[in-house]
Amino acid sequence: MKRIAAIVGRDIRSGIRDWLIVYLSIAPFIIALILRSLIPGVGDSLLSVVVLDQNPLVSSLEQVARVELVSDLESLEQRVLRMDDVFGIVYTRGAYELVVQGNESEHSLGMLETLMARLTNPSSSVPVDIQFSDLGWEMSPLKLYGGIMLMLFTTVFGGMFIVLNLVDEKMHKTLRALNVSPLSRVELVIGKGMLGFLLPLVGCLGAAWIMGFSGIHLGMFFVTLLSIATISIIIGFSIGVMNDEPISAVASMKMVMLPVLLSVFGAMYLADNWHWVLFWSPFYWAYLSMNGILLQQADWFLVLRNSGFILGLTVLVFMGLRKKIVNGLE
Amino acid sequence: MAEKTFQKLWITFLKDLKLSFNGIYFYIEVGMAVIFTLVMVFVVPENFDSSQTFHVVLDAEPAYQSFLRNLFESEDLGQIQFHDDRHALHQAMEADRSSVGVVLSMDAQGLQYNLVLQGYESPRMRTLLKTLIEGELLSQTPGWSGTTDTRVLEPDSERLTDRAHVLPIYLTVNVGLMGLFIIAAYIFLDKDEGVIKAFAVAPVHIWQYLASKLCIMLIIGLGSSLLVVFALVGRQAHYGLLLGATVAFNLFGSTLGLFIASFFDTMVKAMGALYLAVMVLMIASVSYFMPSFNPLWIRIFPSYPMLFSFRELLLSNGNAWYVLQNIGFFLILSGVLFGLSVHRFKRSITV
Repeated sequence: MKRIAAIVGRDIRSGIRDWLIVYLSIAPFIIALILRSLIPGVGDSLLSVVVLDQNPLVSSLEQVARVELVSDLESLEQRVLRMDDVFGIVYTRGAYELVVQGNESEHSLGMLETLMARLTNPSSSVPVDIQFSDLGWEMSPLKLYGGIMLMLFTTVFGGMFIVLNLVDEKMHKTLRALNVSPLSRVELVIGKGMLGFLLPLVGCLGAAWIMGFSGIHLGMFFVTLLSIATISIIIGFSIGVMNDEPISAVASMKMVMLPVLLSVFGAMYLADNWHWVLFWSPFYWAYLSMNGILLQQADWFLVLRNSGFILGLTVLVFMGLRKKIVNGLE
Repeated sequence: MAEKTFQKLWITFLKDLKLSFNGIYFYIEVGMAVIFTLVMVFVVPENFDSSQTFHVVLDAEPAYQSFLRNLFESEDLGQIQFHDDRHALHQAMEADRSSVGVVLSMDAQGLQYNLVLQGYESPRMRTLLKTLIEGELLSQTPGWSGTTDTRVLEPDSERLTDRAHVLPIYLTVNVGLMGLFIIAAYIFLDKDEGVIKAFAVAPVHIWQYLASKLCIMLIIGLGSSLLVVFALVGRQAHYGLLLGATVAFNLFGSTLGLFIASFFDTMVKAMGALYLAVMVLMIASVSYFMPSFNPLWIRIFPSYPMLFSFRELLLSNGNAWYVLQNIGFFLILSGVLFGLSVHRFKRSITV
């Protein structure tokens, strides 16, 4: 135990000296802060329009869309022609005209036409009474998926720490020094993996706090985080022991993004009867658990089953790579 | 003199290229491009179904039921699922937090829409929904003639398929920004292995050494972008613009990587900062996927024009001028960053 603590202490000291721990620790927090400030704006409205200053509909439009004001028709057309989807609305000689580039989604254009039917006839009576009620669910899908993606990528940060640490040790031949110390191989693996395990734990907890995921079951959340953090160890050791230099290590880290994205988008968009193609991926099981917990629909059976799959896959990968890990640490 | 200078660069480049083929990075890039292409072709559908789901309860006398059903179905809203009562509607909405509920009722006083939302929808979104329903009903009134005319500025402009729409993200991350990491890794590897010291006594300037690394990144970037673009969109893309954009953006990513790396003395120190820089730069992809969300602070990220330039060059009638402007701008920016990096490395690289 003392020897493991010594390795961890040494990694902390060198990590702080190299700023690596600092960067990888603050990365989830910074991204969570950015997501938190971004999400309300993204979900605020589905439409953006540009109008001339004197357009009589400005105040009505501001209640339903993002509105940009310009001073002349040429500026309005230039704005419409820019890369994003912004519709122009022009008022001339008592009539309104929509100005579009031509590549906007038909759905958005149809929506704007329907809006204009109402906004240009505010006094027409509509034979309908519209009331609103809600279920009291304040977490938008953007926040949900943004949060899940961030937590899964946080495991990559933990893995990256282990990879860079191992490659650095190999390049400076300091692993050899550890090998002649009275440290057992198991102690070395635990010691080297400890910070990679703790970083995602702290990162995910901090990200969840910053993004304001309230009302979730903390016990289930923590158990899932523990299992997710083991993914960092698989990433870290499987890439770290196989690469002796930073270029291939960094490129291999990039490859890790692929299963993360495949698992999340596959789980979101694939039909249920095709989910079996993702069973190999621990990120898939992590996604299912996180999705259930943040939606407050998870139960202990789901969380323990998925955590079991993640741990099982971790053990399988470790057993498969055992020889390589042992050799790679020499 | 100039000929000799470029001959030295060429020799350095050939040597680096040979070393790159001996390393694993080149093969990882090719493997990544092949896997990405296979996933895009065999797993990702050409277009996603992104329509909203509406859960509907018809709360009216049987005589009105079919009228209400027809009224709701006539509106092109997306997927509609009918439920027997509010409890079933709430359960369905709780299972799908992106969906919207409607309880439609009709009595002697008229038609009533009770929109059941999840709770996260903004006031602006609620007003939008209300106005849309009123507008839809108004436009179905017999004798309605209030349609707003639409003027199309570019009638031939087109949209990419959803599958091809993902491609600019891959190109920006893999071709534009990946150099940030790799070039730094190359420099620090040479430093750790003492190659840099050999350069100090060789008749090669620092700029030639750094430019050779840029060329390696460029070759790999060009290879992987051409492979993926040709496999996914075939002859539709503008390959001249693709070459120009890949060169400009790849050089920008690599020179930015060089510049950031010049502030650090070890690979490990530089990696954290570089990784954070890439993650932050990729925030522009939010605007790329939701083009109606485009605040100024996102538009000034360099990744924003990269994403949209790649999109435009994939369209058969894309905005070539926009792409050319960005190519010019990023080439100038790369030149400035390269000059600054050479200046900084001159003082630090052999230390």
